[in-house]
Amino acid sequence: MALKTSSTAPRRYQRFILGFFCGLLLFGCMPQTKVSVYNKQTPPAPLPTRKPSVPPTVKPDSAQALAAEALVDQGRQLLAQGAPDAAIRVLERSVALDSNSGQNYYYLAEAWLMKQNAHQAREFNRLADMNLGRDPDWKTRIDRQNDRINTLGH
Amino acid sequence: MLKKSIKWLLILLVLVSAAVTLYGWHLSGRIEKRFSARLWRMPSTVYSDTTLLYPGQGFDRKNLTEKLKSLGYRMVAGRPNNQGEMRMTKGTVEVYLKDFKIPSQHRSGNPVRLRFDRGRIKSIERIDTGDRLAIMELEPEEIGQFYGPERERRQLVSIRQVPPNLVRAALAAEDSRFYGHHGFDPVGILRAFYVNLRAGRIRQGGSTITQQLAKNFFLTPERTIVRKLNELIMSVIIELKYQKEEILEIYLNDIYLGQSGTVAINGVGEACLFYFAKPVKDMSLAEAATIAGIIRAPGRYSPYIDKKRCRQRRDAVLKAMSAKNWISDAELQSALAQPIETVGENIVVKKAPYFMDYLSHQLGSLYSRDDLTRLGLSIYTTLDTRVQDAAEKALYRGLTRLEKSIATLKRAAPAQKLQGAVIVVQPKTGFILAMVGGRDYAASQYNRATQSRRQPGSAFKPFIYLAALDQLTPASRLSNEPRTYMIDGKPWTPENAAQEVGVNMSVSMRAALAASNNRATVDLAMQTGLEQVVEKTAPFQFTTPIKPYPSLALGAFEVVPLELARAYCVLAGDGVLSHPLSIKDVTDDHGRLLSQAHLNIDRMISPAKAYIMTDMLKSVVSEGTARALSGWNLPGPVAGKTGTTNNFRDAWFVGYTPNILALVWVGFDNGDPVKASGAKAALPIWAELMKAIPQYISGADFKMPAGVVTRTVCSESGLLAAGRTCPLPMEEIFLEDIVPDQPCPLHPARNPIKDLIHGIKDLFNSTP
Repeated sequence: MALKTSSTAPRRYQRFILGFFCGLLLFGCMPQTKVSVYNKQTPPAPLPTRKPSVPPTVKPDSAQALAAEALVDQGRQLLAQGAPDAAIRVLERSVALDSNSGQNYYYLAEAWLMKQNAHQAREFNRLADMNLGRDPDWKTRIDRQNDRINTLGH
Repeated sequence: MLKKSIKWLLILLVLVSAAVTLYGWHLSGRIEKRFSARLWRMPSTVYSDTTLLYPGQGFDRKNLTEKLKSLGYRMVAGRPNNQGEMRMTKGTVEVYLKDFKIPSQHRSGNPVRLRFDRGRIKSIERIDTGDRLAIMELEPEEIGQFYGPERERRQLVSIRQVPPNLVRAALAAEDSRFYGHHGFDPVGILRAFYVNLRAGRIRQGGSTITQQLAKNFFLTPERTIVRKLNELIMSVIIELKYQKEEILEIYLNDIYLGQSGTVAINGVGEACLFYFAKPVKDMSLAEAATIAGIIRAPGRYSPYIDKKRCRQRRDAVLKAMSAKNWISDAELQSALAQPIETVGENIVVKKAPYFMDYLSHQLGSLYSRDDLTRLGLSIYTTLDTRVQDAAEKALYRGLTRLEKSIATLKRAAPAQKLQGAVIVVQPKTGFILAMVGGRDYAASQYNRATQSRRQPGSAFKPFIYLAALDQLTPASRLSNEPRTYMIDGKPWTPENAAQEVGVNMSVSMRAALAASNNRATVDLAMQTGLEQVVEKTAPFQFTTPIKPYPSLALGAFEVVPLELARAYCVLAGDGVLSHPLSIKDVTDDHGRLLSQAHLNIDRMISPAKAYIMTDMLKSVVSEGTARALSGWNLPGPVAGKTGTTNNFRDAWFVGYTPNILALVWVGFDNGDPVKASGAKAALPIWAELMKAIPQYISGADFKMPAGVVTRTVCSESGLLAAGRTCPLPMEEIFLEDIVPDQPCPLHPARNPIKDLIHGIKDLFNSTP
């Protein structure tokens, strides 16, 4: 019986210490009740994680992105062959599939440059910048393209 | 006396001759006008866009084979060895692609194998080389032709393309002495008279091919002496003015050869496709005789109506050919032994008729209606036939469902029935993928997608909220209190559509849009300034007037549905307006490019604002008036807005994903109430449409652009919750230059000691 009593006391002590530290730990990241905005009656739903704007993915990570990239390659080849209209046709389809790639916008701007249309070239250059501007290599290319557009515009 | 009589007789003769000559000259002019137009007329053909396929795409085998069938591919038992063949095996579709050439693109046909897994394309590979393909494209599909006022289908063929057996069969069936007479055939007339006399009924006609042509082209169907006389005179004139081959060519291209639904089958070119799915040049002798046999009475001898009678008639034609020594005995016996094997009747329906009308209008500035029916242009469009089919079906089913659930919506008269419109657009390219302007084109050609002007109701609210984003945020509080506004000296008190439980006197901007709160939206418009709202909506180029009245906030001004869809594209397209596009390329009859239109964009609002609006519209779907959409299990997030107008006259739903946007409108042309909200009437149509086109639903989320930041705010005050005891904090997104910088004033700052004690208490309470 005594043995039983003596063994209970340290356990309570340990439990208190454990509880204290756990409390401190929890205090640091105290969960506040987060609820859905619109309907307070519904149980709290996990909030969507709103990630900060991330640099554009250069490597495609989905089926659509892969197909869009294949079309960008075709568009680039057509531009190299001096066929801007054909390139635009292909790149338009790439945009429809994956507008986040940014590369399709860059080459669309290139095609419009080839067609001497500064307005459209500028619009697509801006979209390319929006999607690829965080990538230093692409940023340089986009800025240079913008300079060429401005030269054409003037 | 006799001399005098002869003199008068001569005068009469001269006068009659002069009159006949003058009349003949008049008819000759008419004939020349009509014939020259017919001889050189080539209808313009309208094509859909090409279809892109890629591994990972939501596209099942059934969907693909249906698409291939509509492109004219044939199912075969063995491995496809020729272009245009396909076969289905377990989990795969093998297809030998056809060559195709369109402006800016040429592809040689090759055999490919597509593997499928759970409704998705798993892989695409060349059968001949084993190469894996990242993408594959199917050729454009013919949508229709501009030929005649009813846009008939017509496969015009040159007489050089028509096989001799078909010409002979037609002659044997209708006019075996065609090359021997000069328009009318006295021998033929006498023979027909004799045959009919013996039979006691009309068994044989005496009209030559030239007479039939004259009758079809110029004369009314009634049987009178004057008409018959006219027919004879015209036939002679036609024969004098034109070569036999020219007459035969026009005849073979114009004869009526059957009916498919409401569409007439005219000309041998069209008939060969309709009955045998073959071009005219590939007709066998037996098939040629079948076609020729149908000429006399398509309603009686069509193989789709009576195969036995059709075969008897075919055999009679074959025997007539043999009697003329136009075919050998061996050929006769071989052809007689063949059964009538048709392709199976596919009811020909006019594809995308409202889109075709829209196209005709769009083309109007470049080509006249007459040009379109004679220049033989090829018009390549943005339409996707699978999306178009899905939109037509979804609208039809949705309206029928609604009529069943609300019996008072049913109308007997076709012109008064419940109507609807659907527009499907790719928001980032502006390509119009589908357009349905009504439930039944045959009953009403009024295109409600492009011609109607309807109040958008709450479907207009996103543009009111957008106009406020320079001053307010999704967390800003709006008044939900009843308030009366004076409009033209009259009081107006906006009410909320839904009965609210425990009414909050203020709501956040996000919650107000999600719930389509009328009072809060009017409050928002008043806070923004009505003139400012009108100014901010101006760049969206609504052609209907929008005036600075408080009711503007509730969509009281009419809009054209296509223009509303275009405005939503800005929200879906990162703030960029991609102008709606229906025509991509136009080529002449030699394939030379005449005009080309590309994706054309204009910056409208910042990508950050577009993203915030889209995010709020996602709340409409996840928690607001469009939450019924969650029951449809569509992959990935959807942003959208419902709309319902006064007395339920209009029901709307506009919804989009990053790749596709669709607008649905439901209502009566005369403004009768639909008795259902946008969520009940229009949303299910939208959802059914999206379920049917998984190839466009990737499940991807909208990408947050630069210029948007996230903060934790108090859901009651809309101000910063960090360090406060707000019971309902929430994450919200903001434009980076309009971020709340004040702490929540409604709830006190957190007390670390109290928090610690509460934390420990909670811990012990939760210990079992």
